Amino acid sequence: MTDSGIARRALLTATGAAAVAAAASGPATAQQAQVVGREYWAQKGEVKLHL
Amino acid sequence: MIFFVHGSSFSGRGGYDLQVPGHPDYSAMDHFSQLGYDVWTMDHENYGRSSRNTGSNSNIMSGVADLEAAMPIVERETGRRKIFMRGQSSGAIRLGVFAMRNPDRVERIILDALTWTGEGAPEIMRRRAQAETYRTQNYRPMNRQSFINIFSRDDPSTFEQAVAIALADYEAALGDNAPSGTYLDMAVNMPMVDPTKIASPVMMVRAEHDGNSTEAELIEFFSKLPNKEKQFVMLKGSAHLAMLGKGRRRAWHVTQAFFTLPAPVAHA
Repeated sequence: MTDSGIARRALLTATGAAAVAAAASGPATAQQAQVVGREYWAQKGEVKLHL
Repeated sequence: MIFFVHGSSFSGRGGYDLQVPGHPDYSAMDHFSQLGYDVWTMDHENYGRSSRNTGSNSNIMSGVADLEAAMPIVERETGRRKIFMRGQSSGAIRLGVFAMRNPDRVERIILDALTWTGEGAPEIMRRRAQAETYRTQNYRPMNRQSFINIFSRDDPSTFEQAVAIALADYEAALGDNAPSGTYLDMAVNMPMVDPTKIASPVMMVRAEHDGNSTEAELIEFFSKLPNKEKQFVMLKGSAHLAMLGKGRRRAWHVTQAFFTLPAPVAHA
């Protein structure tokens, strides 16, 4: 949970630059680095719902 | 993927993504994401970072509508229409009604700390005595101490004080009230979930110490679930907020076990 408003949490598959960076940082950091979050907003009429 | 549904008094991330200083393992979202799940939660209307002070009391059916508004986004982003969902307390009631109305959206559901009828349950009887207040006031005033007090309702020894403080700090920074609608529904409008109308596999989770229901009502509810792919789990040593308790890893364990249970073997 950070101020960036992370509401969706997923473990990335080991591909791409993120995985390369994580692997270079060692196991503990790699595990943390692989968890990413995103936020979304749903609309219920005029009500905004934070996902 | 897993979608977590929060209860009456605090938000999705407060309940499922809490960061506790000095205790780095309280976020269920982190835990399940590290197991490989795509993990979602939401703040219902008048909770967390969603629109607040809208005038609505955010009752159970309002929460069901919130879930129905969220699902197209989940489907768009994940490509999944049927998903694993887990609701706690009034979140379990919201989820139960959602599953009744949207059988095509739920793969498996976990109803944690459900209230079905609430008859004879101490916390529900207390709320029933306050029903007129909830009926006339759409919001319950909350402050830091109110959030801390939630953890003293059943068995305070099942929680670390740091968790209550962390939750209070997080939620109090977001607002000074919580909507009354789910409390009112739980006081006077139960039952809202009809177990015979839930088609999906269901796990029910009941903590050893939970004043929001009686064991008898939940066992009767369980017996009425039509899908025989069902489980009833008692968590010894846990209280109503099992996912934030000292025994949270047991709650996580049974969740993972149910969501990874191999499919039944078909008879020839």
